[in-house]
Amino acid sequence: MLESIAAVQPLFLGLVLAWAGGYKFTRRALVAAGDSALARLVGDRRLTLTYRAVACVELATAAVLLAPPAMRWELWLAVALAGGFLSYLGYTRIAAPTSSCGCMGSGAGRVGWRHFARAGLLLAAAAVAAWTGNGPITTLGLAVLGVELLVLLLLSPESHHAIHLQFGRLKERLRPHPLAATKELAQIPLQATLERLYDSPVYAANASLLRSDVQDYWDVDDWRILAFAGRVGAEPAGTVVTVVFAVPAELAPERIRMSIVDASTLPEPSLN
Amino acid sequence: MEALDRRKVLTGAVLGGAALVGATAFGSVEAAHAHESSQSLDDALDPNFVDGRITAINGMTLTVIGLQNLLTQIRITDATSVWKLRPTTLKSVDVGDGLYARGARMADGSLAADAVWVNIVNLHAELTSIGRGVLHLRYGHGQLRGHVVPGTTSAVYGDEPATADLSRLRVGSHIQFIGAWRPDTDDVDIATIFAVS
Repeated sequence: MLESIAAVQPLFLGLVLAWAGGYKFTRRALVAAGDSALARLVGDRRLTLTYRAVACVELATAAVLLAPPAMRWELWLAVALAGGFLSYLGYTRIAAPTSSCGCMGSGAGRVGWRHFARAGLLLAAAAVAAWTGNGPITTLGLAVLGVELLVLLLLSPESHHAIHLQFGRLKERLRPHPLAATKELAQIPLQATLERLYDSPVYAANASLLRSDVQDYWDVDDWRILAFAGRVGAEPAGTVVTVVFAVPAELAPERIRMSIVDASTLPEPSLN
Repeated sequence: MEALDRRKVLTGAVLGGAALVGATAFGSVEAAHAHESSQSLDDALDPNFVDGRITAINGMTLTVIGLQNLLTQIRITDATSVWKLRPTTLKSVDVGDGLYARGARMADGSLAADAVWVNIVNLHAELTSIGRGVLHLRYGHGQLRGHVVPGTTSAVYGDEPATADLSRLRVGSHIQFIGAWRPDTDDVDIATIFAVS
């Protein structure tokens, strides 16, 4: 059984390395590589050269793995390469924890457990094949290859977002909207009251008095009352006031009322 | 109790229902038209603006450490508005919170705050899935959880007025939202969502 699993590993490793190497030749990849730990390791000047060199090694390894005849040394090369990936990720975690990987796709963010798991999968695949040796390709082998590719896709941080989004869309289609209950809420949000207030002539005429944002608000009958701190007269001699607006529940900007109250004559705001 | 008294007095002042016990109302809208202010709108380079994390709270004074490790004392008065997801008071502010404060710089270097916004964030994100009371959001390369707070979270769809109805949010859409970050987590309590209609 191990032989039939080992038999498909050159194919698996070859496909993955061809992807990784090919990706590194895209313009997007080179831009993303600027944020990677590789830039830190070799310096910005040698980044392009090093990045392309890694890509060439990956593509060359992919070529020998995919092209017959299957030789044992090819798999040891893959073991070395996968070991190198793991060392590089380890270096990234220690030396540049905020850097990205630059491995197989852009936009993957900082290096995390998924990167390690993916490199670990490659190392395990290469090691199993290198130790076991070659056998015939069987149906079991092909099934294992399918599972390996699927696991790699799921592990890849690059595809994580797309998978998450598709899962979210599927859930949305299959079940009622989880926030459907908010449709029944009768209350008017503070934001809606503020929009009405800010659009009103009475606010525009008096906004220059205000010093604070909304300090407090509450509802009385069909009115929402909002209190602001303000100042009447020139500073510093001016009087500290509380500017209070009453906004009606229905849409009628002309009905918005305002009053200015000397703050020193008000009961203390005990909550402060 | 005092807070209730205060609200009662202010309600009476603006609606004219109850008597203004002990409070002096300055009068009408027309009178207020006469007052002009020379105070300019705030901007980030203004000395009257501070942002940073709160390292200590002593009575009504907050010690804030800013971007360049600059310590500022922020004085909260009865005339200061405090926002933390909604208009609130100093009692709900904690050490470790981030803030933006606007006010007047005093001679001793402290800031007498007119308004303080605690943990406020204004972010653009993609909605990747909707759960019961939580929005899963992709922000930059990372993930955020946006918590729906019943009675507070509202949505603005296009040009429509804000509503409490969040059932029109769709997976895959891009939203802008204002909320209060829970410090040192990937969680934000959402105040207002701006979405396309």
